[in-house]
Amino acid sequence: MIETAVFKVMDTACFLWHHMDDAHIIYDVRSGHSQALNDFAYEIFEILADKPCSLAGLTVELEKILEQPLGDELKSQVKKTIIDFDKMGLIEPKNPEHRE
Amino acid sequence: MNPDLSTIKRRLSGSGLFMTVGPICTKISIKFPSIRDEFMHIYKGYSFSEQPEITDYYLDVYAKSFYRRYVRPQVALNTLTRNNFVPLPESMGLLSVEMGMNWQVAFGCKTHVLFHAGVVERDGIGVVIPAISGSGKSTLSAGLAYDGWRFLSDEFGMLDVDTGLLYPYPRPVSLKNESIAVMKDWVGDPEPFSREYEGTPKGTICYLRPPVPSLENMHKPVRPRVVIHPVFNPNAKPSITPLTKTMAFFRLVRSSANYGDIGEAAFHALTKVAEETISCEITYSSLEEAIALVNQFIDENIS
Repeated sequence: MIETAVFKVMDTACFLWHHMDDAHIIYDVRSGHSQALNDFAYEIFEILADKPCSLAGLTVELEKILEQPLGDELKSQVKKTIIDFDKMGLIEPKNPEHRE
Repeated sequence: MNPDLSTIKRRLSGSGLFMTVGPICTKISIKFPSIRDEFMHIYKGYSFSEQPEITDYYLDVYAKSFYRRYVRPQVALNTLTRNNFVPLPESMGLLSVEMGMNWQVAFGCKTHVLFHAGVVERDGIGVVIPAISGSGKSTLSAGLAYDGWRFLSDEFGMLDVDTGLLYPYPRPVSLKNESIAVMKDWVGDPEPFSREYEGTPKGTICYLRPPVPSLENMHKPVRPRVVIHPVFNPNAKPSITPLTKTMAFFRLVRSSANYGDIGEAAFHALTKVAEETISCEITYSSLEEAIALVNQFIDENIS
């Protein structure tokens, strides 16, 4: 279902950011967890925070930013990042049944 | 000013004596004379009072029954929040006292971000030494303390989230096994040491009182400037590996006992520490080597 689900950031007010030279640190006020995102993951999060998006929609947005088509490796990296964000509780499907 | 010795002993054996170490005041009573004597020796020079304004913690060291007081005497602890600690024989009573105080700070302190770390200071440069057990954190902190540095802590680094300053909590250093002989040799005077407690779950333990100037300055905070993660390896060549700010941040989070409890303020405080300090990992095989590496890293990176 990951291919068809539309994901949204749960609540941007739940997250605090600190940007360092080599990473973006996110703090989740609900859980007290901190995690580091690289530039690529941060960009994906920003797109989703801007508006809910499907995997295909994300690919289009990233291609616009990078000004070139995404290769297979990057596409699978985007998919993995979405799955990780979902597990971390940073994003959720707009329709919860799409998680299954 | 401290009460006179007879008042200290009377309060310690009876209704309780208040001991202030850095920002924390603990009311302590010890019903065993032998443990009182050991406590008085290792806490010589600390600040005691009969009635402070605020008391943070409470520690009653007692026997659960008349039998356990005199026949195979056993030490029980009551901290007001917990009284079911595993009892120890009277001969290990000082370990109970230390464990009771550590437990209360580790689980009760929400006023400061706690690091499981040693903290020392020289020329206004606060150095945090976070580490896992066995890395040589205590030996390095104590070694620096008896090499002219000010000792702030062996076990708990205490960071004030509002000011970003580290507050001293200079309790006696808990030395274990091989590090006991190393530090006895390093200090060269048996007086600040406790006797050795053999057969504990961590092997042999011995306590070392911090130097007098560190106790005299136990209310003077310092700004953290350097974070050093020690790694003891008897076969290693000495080395210094710098850490990125992000690595430094996550290592601080890992070493903190109450980061999640304090929450947002702790996140801001630790990112600030990571940004404003320089961090490295040092690998060493002897105390002399570790101290040389610490001095080298600071001299090369802090003007």
